[in-house]
Amino acid sequence: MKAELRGQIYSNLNSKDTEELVEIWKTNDRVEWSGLAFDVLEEILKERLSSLPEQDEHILEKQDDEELEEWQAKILDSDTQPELYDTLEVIDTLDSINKVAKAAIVIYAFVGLVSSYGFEALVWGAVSLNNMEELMPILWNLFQTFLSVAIQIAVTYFSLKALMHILRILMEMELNSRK
Amino acid sequence: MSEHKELFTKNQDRLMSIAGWANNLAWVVMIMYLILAALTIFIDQSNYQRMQALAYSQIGVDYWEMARLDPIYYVLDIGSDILSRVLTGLIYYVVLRGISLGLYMVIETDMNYRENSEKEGV
Repeated sequence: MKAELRGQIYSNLNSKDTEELVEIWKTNDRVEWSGLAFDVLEEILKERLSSLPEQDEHILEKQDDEELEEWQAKILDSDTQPELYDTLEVIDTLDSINKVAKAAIVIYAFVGLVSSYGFEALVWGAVSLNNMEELMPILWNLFQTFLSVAIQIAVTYFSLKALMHILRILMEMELNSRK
Repeated sequence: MSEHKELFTKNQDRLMSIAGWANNLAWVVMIMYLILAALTIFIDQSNYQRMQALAYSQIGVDYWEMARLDPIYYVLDIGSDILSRVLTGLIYYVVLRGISLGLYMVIETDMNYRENSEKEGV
């Protein structure tokens, strides 16, 4: 299985120009390229060059924004563009999904608090904080509100994030299917 | 594109149709929820009057008097309703747009593989 994967990576990298391979080697981006890819890259460069060029420091992690920009650039720089959809439209939609997912957290939390009678009673001082008999139902109501809001946020946020990742994978699959 | 059209299979045609519907539906749903958000005060008022008529509420004040009695709570309540409707519309919109684009990408991928197979003579 590993040999098969190595073979695929080899043929994929071997089809690229030496200049492009040297750039990948120098950038040393371990987030975008796996360790196995770098092993194969080293092998190819040794075959093509007399000596291996020096590498920059390992890039091991990136900010989400940087990662997205690089990913966007890779797709947008492709020589051939899809006919059935607009690449920029997908990138805009992914950005919108991301924004809506974040807005959902804030809005659901706000709506949940406002619609909770426990919160209203506490803010307007309708209950005495010293009276446990009055306070207990309010705390119970706040706990229920917190649970339902948390579930609502989790379901919405993770569904939207899943949709984002599915779209990104589909776009990469489509990019890889072009020849 | 004309070459692609000839390559369309029955399933691809169906997916194209669903993708088109999802894209159009996204706009319809979004506009519908924006209208609902704009009408929040009227909907809230009619719900309040219905509750009064059904005698669920014992408070003998009309809607605007009730709003004047506790303006901060009223603004928060109406604001949260508006935000909730706008958010629901946005969620439906991005999900339907995402589904539509995803389906187009699936068809494009399938067609690319078919074209590659034909070129390689498999």
